[in-house]
Amino acid sequence: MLLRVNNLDAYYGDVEALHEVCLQVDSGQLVTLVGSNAAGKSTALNCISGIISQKKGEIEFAGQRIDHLPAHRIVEHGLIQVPEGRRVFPFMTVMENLDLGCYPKKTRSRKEENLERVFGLLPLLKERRSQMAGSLSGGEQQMLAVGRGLMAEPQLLILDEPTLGLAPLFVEKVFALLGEIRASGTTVLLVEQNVHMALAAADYGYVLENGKIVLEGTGRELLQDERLAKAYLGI
Amino acid sequence: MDKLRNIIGKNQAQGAGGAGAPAKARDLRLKLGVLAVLLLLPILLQNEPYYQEILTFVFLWGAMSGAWNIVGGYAGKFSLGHAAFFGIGAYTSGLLYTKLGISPWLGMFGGMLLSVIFALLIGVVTLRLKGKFFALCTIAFGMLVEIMAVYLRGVTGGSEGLLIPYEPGFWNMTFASKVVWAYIFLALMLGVYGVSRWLDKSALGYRLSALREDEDAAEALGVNTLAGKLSSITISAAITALGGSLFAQYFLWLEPNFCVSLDLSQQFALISIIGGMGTAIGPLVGAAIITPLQIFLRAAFGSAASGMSMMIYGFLLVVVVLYMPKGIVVEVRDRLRARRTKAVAGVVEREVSNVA
Amino acid sequence: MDGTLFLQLLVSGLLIGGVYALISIGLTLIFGVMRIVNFAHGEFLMLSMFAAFWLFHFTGLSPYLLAPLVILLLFAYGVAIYVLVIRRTIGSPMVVQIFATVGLGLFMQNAALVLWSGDFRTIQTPASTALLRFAGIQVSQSMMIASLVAIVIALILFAFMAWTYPGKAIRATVQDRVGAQLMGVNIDRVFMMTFAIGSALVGIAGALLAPAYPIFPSVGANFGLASFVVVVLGGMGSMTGALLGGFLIGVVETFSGFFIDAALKQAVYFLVFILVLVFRPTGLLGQRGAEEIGLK
Repeated sequence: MLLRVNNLDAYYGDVEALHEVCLQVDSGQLVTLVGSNAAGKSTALNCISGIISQKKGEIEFAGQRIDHLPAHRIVEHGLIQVPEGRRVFPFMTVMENLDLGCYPKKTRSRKEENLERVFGLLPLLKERRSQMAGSLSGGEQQMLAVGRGLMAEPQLLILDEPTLGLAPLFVEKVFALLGEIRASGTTVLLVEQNVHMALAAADYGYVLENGKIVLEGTGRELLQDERLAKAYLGI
Repeated sequence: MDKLRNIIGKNQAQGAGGAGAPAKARDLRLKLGVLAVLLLLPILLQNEPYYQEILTFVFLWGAMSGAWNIVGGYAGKFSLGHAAFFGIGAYTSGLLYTKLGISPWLGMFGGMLLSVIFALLIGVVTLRLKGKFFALCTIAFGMLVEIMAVYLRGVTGGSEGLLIPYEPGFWNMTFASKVVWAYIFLALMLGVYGVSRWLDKSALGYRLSALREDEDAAEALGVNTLAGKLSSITISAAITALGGSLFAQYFLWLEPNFCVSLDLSQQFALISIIGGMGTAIGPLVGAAIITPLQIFLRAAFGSAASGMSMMIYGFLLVVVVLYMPKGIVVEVRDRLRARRTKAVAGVVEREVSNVA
Repeated sequence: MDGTLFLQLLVSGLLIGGVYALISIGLTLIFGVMRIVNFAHGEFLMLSMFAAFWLFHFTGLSPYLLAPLVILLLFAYGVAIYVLVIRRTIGSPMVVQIFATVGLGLFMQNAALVLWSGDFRTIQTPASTALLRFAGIQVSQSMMIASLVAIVIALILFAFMAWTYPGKAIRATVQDRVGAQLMGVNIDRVFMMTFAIGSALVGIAGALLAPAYPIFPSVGANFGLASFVVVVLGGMGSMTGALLGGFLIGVVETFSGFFIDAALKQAVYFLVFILVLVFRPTGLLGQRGAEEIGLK
């Protein structure tokens, strides 16, 4: 087991945003966390990656507790989050953005190999490498954000709504990319509003509602679950 | 209006709830008591010139930081150039009096008028700047006035200062008795307090707090933020100029280095911030704490350590903004309220458990 | 107008401008990265000049030799002030952001007055008064040095930001704080280093100015205000802007002092300051997006 979250509570001021969330991600899997807007999906991810520090509960990554670590230390453990809204550095070139991807000291020495791997997966970035990230299209920025995440040689890659606001063509590209990433042995935790595609691609899934996990199961089980179908798949 | 209340909802709601009728009566009694003490103090201290002076300055600086508070606290625009208004008031009436023999009672209106014009100019030019940039710009305006006060030596007496002749008489606004001055400044301070209380309740006050909380949202809701800001800065400038004119006649000596200085501007701000910005009472409490401290320190350390009081001010300012950024008054009030709420909650809980 | 006189004024203005630029680089760096206007900036300069003075007083060594020590001291002071004061102001309400450093400035200036009195102190070395002559004009050697160092520092900082990992981490933090954290950047560390480096840069300025100017507790006030003018004119956060702004303000000050009135030279640059804030708030070379962070 690579990531284990146990009884995670989080608050926004006095409002409880997450309530006793438990989930786990095994090595090599693609796990997805789905749910409606404001269900607490991003909050959960931000707690795991350390962006949110006000939380209760246990988060264990690769056998070590990480719930008290600040975000930049968690990155050093190989847990990399590709944030919602991409958050590429707009006034830096594609190349500089990728450079920052391998900011952790461990990975800096292997920058060239990582770069080659990322360019292999995303040849587009190679073409655009000296372009300012802010001038890329939304889809291209998403590719850059994923590529930047891969530069850190993640053990676990967390993606928060990677297809949000993208054209259908890019949505498919993103899912194809996720498949390749997983095939290359990187574990993936995916938050998606595109429930159907996410569950179809996932080994295991969790459904979050009002800050609580209400349903879990393998991707296939969940796809066939009636309650879920009614609530999210519009069937 | 309702939308405005929503923007500022959180702050106002706290104030609106809670206080029942008995609490209000208690509040009124407390206020009347304080007022009585303030009215008696100048007479009681008649034969204590040292304490009398402290009291007089508490009133003056209380009034002046109260005036700063109208822009800084209520509108959330942090001016670091308010000494310019003070200096314009002081120099206008002082010069009209010494050079042309015009009574300061009239001259002070001249000072207020000039100050208001200057405030409108600054307002139109800088009020669209936010936060730090507004503060920087007001510093520059203050410096310009200070430089001019020094430069126009022929008129203002330059850096040597302007001496106002001591000729006691009502029309000269020069009084042999210091008690009169204590009352004049007390009246000024109470006036500023009144204006602030009015702001607490008026439409303009709501408009100001809306733009303080979120200028863009206020604007989007159709609040005329420019008008709000301009009114607050002109009211504040007029009062500050009035204080300057009165100070000129009290002190009878004007020096750019003091009455148009950045130090003075900072002092207005810091008294208000330490006391409690955005509340009517905050600046007065601030002045009651800071001003005596300053005079005691000066007495204790003499001129050799003239920096001591400002050093302590600076230190206090840093500590207050870092650890109680709402100021002493608000902080204490919040704590008391929290304790009271807890006590009430405790009683309710006990009663509930008794019933059960 | 006489050509030599014009040249003399121009060169003198550029040199004063170089001094202003040198003082302003630290301020603009701190603003650019942290979005904090250090209202105590002039007092940092005062402190570094006093540091240079006392080191000189006790060792008798050349102030230029002592500069590295002053820089180190100011770096350490920057770290301390960051930990004690600045860290708590980041992301706080505007009143905290402004008045924490206003209070710090008041404290520093008056603490210096209490500790060291208001006396003017000077460092008398041959370097203080040395003049260089060429083409019929003369220039102060110490100001020449200060100007050259300003240019060199700006170049070094530029290279540091463009090509090193810490530099990139700083730029990433400026552009997206959360994004930077997710890259493994310790933004608290970035802010601390930025503030300390900014402070050390003021240390350089203080060490180089100490032989050329009298040293007293409020010496920082005017220099501090001048550096605000320079930084706003050049564009908050822009290194090259600080250079350009410094030279411009120096020339403006010298010419207006000569042609209008020496007593009004400051008034002229405060007017420039207000005009820039009002009409071109991003300054000459300001960062894109400055409107969103402080201006509308």
